[in-house]
Amino acid sequence: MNGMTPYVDFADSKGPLLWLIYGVGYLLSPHNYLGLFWLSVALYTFIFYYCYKCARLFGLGRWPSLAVVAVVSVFMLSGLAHEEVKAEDYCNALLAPVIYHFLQFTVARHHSERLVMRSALTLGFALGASFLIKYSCTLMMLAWVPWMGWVMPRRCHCSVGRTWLTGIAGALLALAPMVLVLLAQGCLDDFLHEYIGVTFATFGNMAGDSLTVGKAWSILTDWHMLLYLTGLAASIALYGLHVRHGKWQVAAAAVWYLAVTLLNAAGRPYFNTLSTFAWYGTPVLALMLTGVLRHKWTVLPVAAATLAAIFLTVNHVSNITALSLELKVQHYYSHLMTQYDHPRVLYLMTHDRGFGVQSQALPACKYWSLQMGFTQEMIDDQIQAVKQHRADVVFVRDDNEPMLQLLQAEGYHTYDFTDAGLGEKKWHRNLLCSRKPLRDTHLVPHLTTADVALKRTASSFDTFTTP
Amino acid sequence: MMQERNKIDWTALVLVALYSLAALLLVSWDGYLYDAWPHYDVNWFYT
Repeated sequence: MNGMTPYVDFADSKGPLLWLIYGVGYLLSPHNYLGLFWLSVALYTFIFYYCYKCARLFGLGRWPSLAVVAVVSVFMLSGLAHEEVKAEDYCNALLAPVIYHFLQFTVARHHSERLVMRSALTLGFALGASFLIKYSCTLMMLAWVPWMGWVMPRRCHCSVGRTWLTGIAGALLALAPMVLVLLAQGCLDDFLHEYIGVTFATFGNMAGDSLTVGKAWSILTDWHMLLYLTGLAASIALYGLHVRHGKWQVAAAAVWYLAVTLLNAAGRPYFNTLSTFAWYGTPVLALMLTGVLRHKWTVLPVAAATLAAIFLTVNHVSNITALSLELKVQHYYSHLMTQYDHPRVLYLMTHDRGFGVQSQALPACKYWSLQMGFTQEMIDDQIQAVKQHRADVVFVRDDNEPMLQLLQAEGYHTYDFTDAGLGEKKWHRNLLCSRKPLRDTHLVPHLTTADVALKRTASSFDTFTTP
Repeated sequence: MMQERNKIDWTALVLVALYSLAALLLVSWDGYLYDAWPHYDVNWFYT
């Protein structure tokens, strides 16, 4: 899209399949996130429909199964475990049919060769496709290989070798088309270097707040968390009591999931990667609800309790001030950037904030936005882009004096959203530096409630007047 | 245990799609619920 070659003209730590998905979102709605929102709805429809199918395997009828979907959605979308729709969510969709087949085997006792082969094909495809999205998720999905590649065929008296070959065929089904595309683009080597080599190097450079015992204790004893953990722990116990096969795998995964939740709540968001295991909650929750939901009158209270739970937990990590301000600043900066045609944007030693979405900005250089655990090579590439004036617009933190001096020396003009009356100067923030002087810097966006909810373009721009 | 049904349950699928739409709108709209419940005061936008 836009004539640029991935991993050559621009790079990131994510895989090409995720870029393709986001590319579809861009084509649906080039100036805002509405296209991605509809893709997210389709994604969660797929995930929740598989939750529904899983619940049916426990012997529940249509309405109780839909109530299970509602309960599971709390664990998937709660602010305790979920920030926004990310790469991990798309990997969850790949995991959904795998868990469904697992439950067909353990709960519905479908012990047939056909199921074994279908499970192997599904798992192989999930491993291959998730590798093209985020390979740390693939590593975690490998946990299913012993079960589906050894336990299932052995119990069904099928050939283990044929099961493995089917799994490999599934992986190739996902990998081969993308490899051909990358070959056609002539960037397969760059893909391997960037996606595997460079991304792996950034892991080692990552640093976060350390999780102390005191901090962990305070998070664990928070009442939101206690409620959350008690519900999941009880459901694991129930699963273990009712299902003969696979209980330890699910219990271990659920414990892992709890650890992930804890790490997320401790402010180490890159551990979101591990939230792929949110899916493990589905069978245990379905089983927990099986007894309760057999009576029709219980469905409505459960659904109401679910909505209340989402309502209570979304606030855990949200902030009206931050959310609406971020969108206003995005609109403000985007409005200024529309004075360029497809501006070349660079986030100099800072992370992408989506400021260029509305103006259809393009990357100014390969490492146009800083990655977590960045390397010196990335910084050098960014500085070169500034010195060669390849960036029309550069975003830089207000406290990054050396880079601000560099930009000033190169003739860039600096703009601060607080000068237009948005936000406060007391916090550190991103400043916009433009290669040419910009006009209309006093106009601020007017956002309606619907604009914020749908993350869409501002309804209008108002003239800001100094009080 | 109930037998697996391979056919798509279209009623359930439509209901699930509507639920997904509602849930994601709620999550997108969470900022507007901010003052309705005790919360941690985070300023993630600036940091």
